[in-house]
Amino acid sequence: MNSPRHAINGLIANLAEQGYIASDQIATTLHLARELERPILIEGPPGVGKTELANAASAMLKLPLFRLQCYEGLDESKALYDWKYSKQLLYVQVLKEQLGDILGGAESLASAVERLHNFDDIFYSERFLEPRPLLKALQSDAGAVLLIDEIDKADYEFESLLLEILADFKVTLPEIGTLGARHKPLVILTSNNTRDLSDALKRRCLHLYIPFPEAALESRIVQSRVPEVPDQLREQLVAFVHGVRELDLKKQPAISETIDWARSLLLLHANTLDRQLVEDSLNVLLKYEEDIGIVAPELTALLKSATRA
Amino acid sequence: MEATLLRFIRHLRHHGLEVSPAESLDAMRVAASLGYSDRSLLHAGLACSLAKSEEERIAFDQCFNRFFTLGERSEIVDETVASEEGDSPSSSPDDTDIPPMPGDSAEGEGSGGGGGSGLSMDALRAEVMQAANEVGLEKMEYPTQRGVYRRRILDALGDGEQRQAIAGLADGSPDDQQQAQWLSRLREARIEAVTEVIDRQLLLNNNAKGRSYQEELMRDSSIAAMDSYYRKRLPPLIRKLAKKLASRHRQRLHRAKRGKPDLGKTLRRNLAYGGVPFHRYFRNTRREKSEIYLLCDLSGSVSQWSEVLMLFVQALADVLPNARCFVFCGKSIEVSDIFRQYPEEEALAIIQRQHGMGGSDYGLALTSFRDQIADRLNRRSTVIVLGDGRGNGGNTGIDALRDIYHRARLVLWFNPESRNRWNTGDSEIRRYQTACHYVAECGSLRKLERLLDDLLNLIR
Repeated sequence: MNSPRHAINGLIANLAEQGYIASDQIATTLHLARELERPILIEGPPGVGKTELANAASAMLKLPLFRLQCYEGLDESKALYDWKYSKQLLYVQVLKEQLGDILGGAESLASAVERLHNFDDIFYSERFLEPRPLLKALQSDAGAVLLIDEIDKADYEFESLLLEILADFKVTLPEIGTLGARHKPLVILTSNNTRDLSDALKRRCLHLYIPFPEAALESRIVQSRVPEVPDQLREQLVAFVHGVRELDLKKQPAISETIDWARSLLLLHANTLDRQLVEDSLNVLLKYEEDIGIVAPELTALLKSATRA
Repeated sequence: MEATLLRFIRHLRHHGLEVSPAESLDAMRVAASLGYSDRSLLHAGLACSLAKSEEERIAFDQCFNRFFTLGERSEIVDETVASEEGDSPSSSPDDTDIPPMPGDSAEGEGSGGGGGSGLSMDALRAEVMQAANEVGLEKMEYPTQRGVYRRRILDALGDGEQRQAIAGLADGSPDDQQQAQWLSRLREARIEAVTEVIDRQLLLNNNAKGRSYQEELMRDSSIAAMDSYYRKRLPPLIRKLAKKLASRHRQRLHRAKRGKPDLGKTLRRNLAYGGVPFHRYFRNTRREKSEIYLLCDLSGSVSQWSEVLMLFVQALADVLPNARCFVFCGKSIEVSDIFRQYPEEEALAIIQRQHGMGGSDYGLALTSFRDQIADRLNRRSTVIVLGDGRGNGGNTGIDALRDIYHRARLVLWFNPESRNRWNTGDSEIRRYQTACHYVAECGSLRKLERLLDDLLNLIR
């Protein structure tokens, strides 16, 4: 029985083996991305495991991961390909020495030019091509997972550059021509939504929004990441973090902060949450002084509801 | 099932999701791959191919639930008649509004005219859905068409004939009377079902046509003249307009400007020619981003306009990153922080509460505005003042504005009053004209949009 539901449940189990607890939506999108050969565009608040999904997928599929971190000013020579200039330089020197042999015996200028044209020129050829992450992912033999991280940080031109790759898994190099993918990679783009991405890009991708997880899911994530944490403490700290997210904070604590916090509580040999402990370790959870100022007066109420749960 | 999916996509479009044909094709492939049997799976799958942002996702979830809950029962019927939905009667709505004469329902076979014994509610609904498809209910656009379509559907179901039959039976034997009673109950149930179907269709269509017409109207009318019902709808409209503007102007910032020659790149790229520079490469010079200072009058007469302009500028944050907002009744106060902290509508309410109310004092306002920004003003700064220039006969502050005029690259005055009222009464706009590069009238949303479009052309 190979129903889609079956396949997706299998995917969830496989991802769990890699330490990634996926929701139904995440698994369905991943399944569809492989079925339809579409890139996935992941959006969501920082620290909910957008990049982690790519890592887990690459480990699960046993495919190499090519990661491209985007930033302002990223261009094709850093993302797509470049030429091996030093090798090309050597090639030119070799060529110069051979020039005499090639052109030797040519009677007229016209015939010399004719010979030069017949000479096989490999100056611009794949041999001198230095592949960057995008091209590497396309040229990978067994397929690959290509992670284009924080695409919203890149310029608009770069977005346009990506369109060809995302739609057809092809790149066009002006000097050589169009190179296709040997094996279509699984492409995952992440965005922190610092700006709107162009519609053209969104249209070519499956869109996945990962929100902060529900308490039960987050508890499972902590369990899978930090298995040493006792059950009671885990439930309490997850409930506490959920309480904190209700407040108006500059930066809401994400899953990665919850995990960090769980680890640090473990180091402090805590078995349950108490006020002193939370006060001392709050800076692991909250990254801004103002946020700590907001949470501190609410501590008693938050702790009460967290320990009751 | 494809027809149902297409109808669902149309439904999404009515609710503001912009689904392109390419995405529809994707959705088809998704549905084909996942199948229709598992509802939650289909939901997740369609969501990732059709909803492309967080807001769209919320709208999508609502639409999905509404569509596939209300529509589930009639799905199979829709399938069978989906092909006929093109040929709806194109008669004018008026002649069907009159109840038909009892004799003229010739085409109705009267499937429910007595023979349909033991008709279940589901079968009834299916019948109604089929009739609704025959008369082209999907084309209904305004709530006011409700009556027309109810009549049309009932006609298609042979309602006139039934009424006649009921009337005929009501005067007969007790048996006949009983049957008449049963029939009229059936008829009532049918009418109820028809109403339900029509209401659902209205909900699905979400009055899309009516709203787009309304938006057109709102863009042309004066904001001061709008009542609160329409004013509440302004922010989404403004954001929509701003998004369009932003996408039009986004590219331009990156237009490369030729700078100094790039020696390294030129050398590398010309290696092929033995270092002879056939191709020359230049460094790009980064264009300095311009700054915008916005000074908005918050006094009663123009405060709505100020809110609209501030909303607009906030929504353009993508292409106008360095905009600073000031408001005044008396002294000018910077409010950029409030916009940073709160969502836009809330921020406007706070600003209005804290700084609003009162007559405008242009003298104090412009002088304090100059004092705050003077040291930042340079040839990249653009200053926009929004106000009607009616200082209630007080100090005009023209000297302060002239100072700004000499330092800044561009000083614009947006006046929401129509041009023929300028310079009447206590309006000092003529004097301000001498200290501005341009005084523009921004009487409607469309004019304001055009002004900002021009502004973006100029400064980017």
